[in-house]
Amino acid sequence: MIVVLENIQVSYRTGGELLTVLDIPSWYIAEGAQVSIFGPSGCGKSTLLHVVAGLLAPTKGSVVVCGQELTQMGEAKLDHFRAANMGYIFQDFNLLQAYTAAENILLGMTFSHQKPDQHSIKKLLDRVGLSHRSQHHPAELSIGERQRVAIARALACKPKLILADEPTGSLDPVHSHEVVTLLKETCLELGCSLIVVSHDQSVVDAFDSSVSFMELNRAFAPVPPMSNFGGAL
Amino acid sequence: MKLWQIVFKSLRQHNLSTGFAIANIALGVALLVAVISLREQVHANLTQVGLGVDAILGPKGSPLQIVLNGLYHMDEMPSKIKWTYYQKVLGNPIVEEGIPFCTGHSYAGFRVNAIDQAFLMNFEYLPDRNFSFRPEDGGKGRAFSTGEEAVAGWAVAKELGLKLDQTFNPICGVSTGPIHKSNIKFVGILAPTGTPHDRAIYIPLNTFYTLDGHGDETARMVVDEQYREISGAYLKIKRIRGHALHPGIQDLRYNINQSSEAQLVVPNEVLPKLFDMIGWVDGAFLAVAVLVTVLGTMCLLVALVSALRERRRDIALMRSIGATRKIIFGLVLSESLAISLFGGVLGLILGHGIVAIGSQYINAETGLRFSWSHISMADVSMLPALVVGGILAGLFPAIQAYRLGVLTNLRPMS
Repeated sequence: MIVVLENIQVSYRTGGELLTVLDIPSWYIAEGAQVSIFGPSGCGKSTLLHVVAGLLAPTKGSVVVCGQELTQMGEAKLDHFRAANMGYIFQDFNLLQAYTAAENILLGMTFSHQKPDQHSIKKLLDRVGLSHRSQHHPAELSIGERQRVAIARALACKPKLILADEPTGSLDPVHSHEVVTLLKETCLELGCSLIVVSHDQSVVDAFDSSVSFMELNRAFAPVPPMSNFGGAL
Repeated sequence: MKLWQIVFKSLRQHNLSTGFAIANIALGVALLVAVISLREQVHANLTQVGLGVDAILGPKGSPLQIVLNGLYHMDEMPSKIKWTYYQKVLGNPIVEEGIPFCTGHSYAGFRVNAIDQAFLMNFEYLPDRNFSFRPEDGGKGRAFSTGEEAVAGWAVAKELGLKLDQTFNPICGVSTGPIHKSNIKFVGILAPTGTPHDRAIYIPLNTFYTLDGHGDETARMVVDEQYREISGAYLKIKRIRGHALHPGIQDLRYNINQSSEAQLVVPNEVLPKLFDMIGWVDGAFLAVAVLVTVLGTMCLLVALVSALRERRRDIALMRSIGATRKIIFGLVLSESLAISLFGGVLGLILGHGIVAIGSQYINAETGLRFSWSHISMADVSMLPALVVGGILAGLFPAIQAYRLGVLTNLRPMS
């Protein structure tokens, strides 16, 4: 198993009350699996990814990724672990504006303590169809191109697990399809597992295995549609 | 990607605040370096073994006035001393040599001093350094003999464009006064010495007494030693153990100073008093320079903190792709160090540039020579001080960056 969650709870104290936003009794992802998690915006999907990535420590429960218990790790070790084993793709690209496309990828390699390898960077950019844009800064790239660079950077450290948080949230349907297809193909080629969270039905449909976040999360309490999903729908 | 490349990228990303911080530090360091370098060199110039003079026998009055007039060709002698008294002092066993002189004349703003020929032949203006004549005259320059002849200091000749065989008429007085129509001829122009001796014209002692217009009373001084007067005399005192002045100078000074005829002044003791008098001026300069440097360092702190505000998202992103808190801390601290060191090096270069420009002005005004390449206390201590300053200025923003939460700063931009 690449991800094993047991009795996960994430709670916040707000206004004197304990608010539980995540409550997952048990969840497993097999190695090499490609899974989408769907649910409306603001329901806590990103929180789940943050827990899996070790960016957020659960209030209680066990998080095992690549056979390592994340809740027992110190912060520095967790940083190293994440850099070596996981790639994270955000909704709004999160490329460093001062760095070119190639440098953004190189930076990922640097922090994951990999030997900077120009050949690998070129190959990755080739794979995402951006070898001609390697020296361009994010501001000079289209939205779709930026997300491709983000994918290339996530893959640069040869991770075992890719976590994608609404990777198509800012894209039109055509680019959205391209990016999802690219993600799936490249993960398959590199043999890494993929977890994508999205509220977009077309993204969910692209995966053979999909999980409804509302079913996964016991803490999820549906509220009237008009007030909760108005923006997303 | 190397750490320095990431640091450089970050600095370039905030080039305006980076440039401003560098400029501030550079300005402060330049001022500090220039002030301290000039201060040290002025001190060294004014205390370099009294410019070859162990003691000056001069008239009663201010000792500082005697040193300034006798050695630096400034101010005026308070009075005269009798030749016979000078001879008496010369007879003291610890006095090895005496060079009598008369001041009080000038030409085109430069002092004209009548002096014994020994000054040009034997006098050591610095240890083991005697006067020589400038090479561009092809070896034709020579010391004056008795008669209407003169030798010009290097700076005088340069500023007035003097040539050998050219004649001049000295003014009786240091600024205005009657002109002696004596047509004194330049027979030698001295090579540069880097001392105030470059800024005077020298004529024979006897020529001084017989200058046209001085009248019979003064002319009588040539032949009548009882009647003769001089402004003062440079004295060379016997040395013991190689360098130290003979202790007998204390008795000699006491005896001379007790008399009503003259006083003995040791330049190396008097000049520090001049420094005490003008100490507040360079203290004020130093304070301003330190203030500018401190402001520069504070500016660095402000620049780093404001840059940090803009970079919260970048830092959080770096953390999300594997940069540890320690790396982020190191990055911010390295940026601070890079700015302070770059500003410091720029300031050192600028400071020496100021010394180079300032030294030309001071040399023209006083004859004191300064070197732009003089390594001062500021040069030696500046880089370690900047490292400490850079660390201190970077510490607060680095701690802030260290504490930055990843998730709170990775919220979607839209």
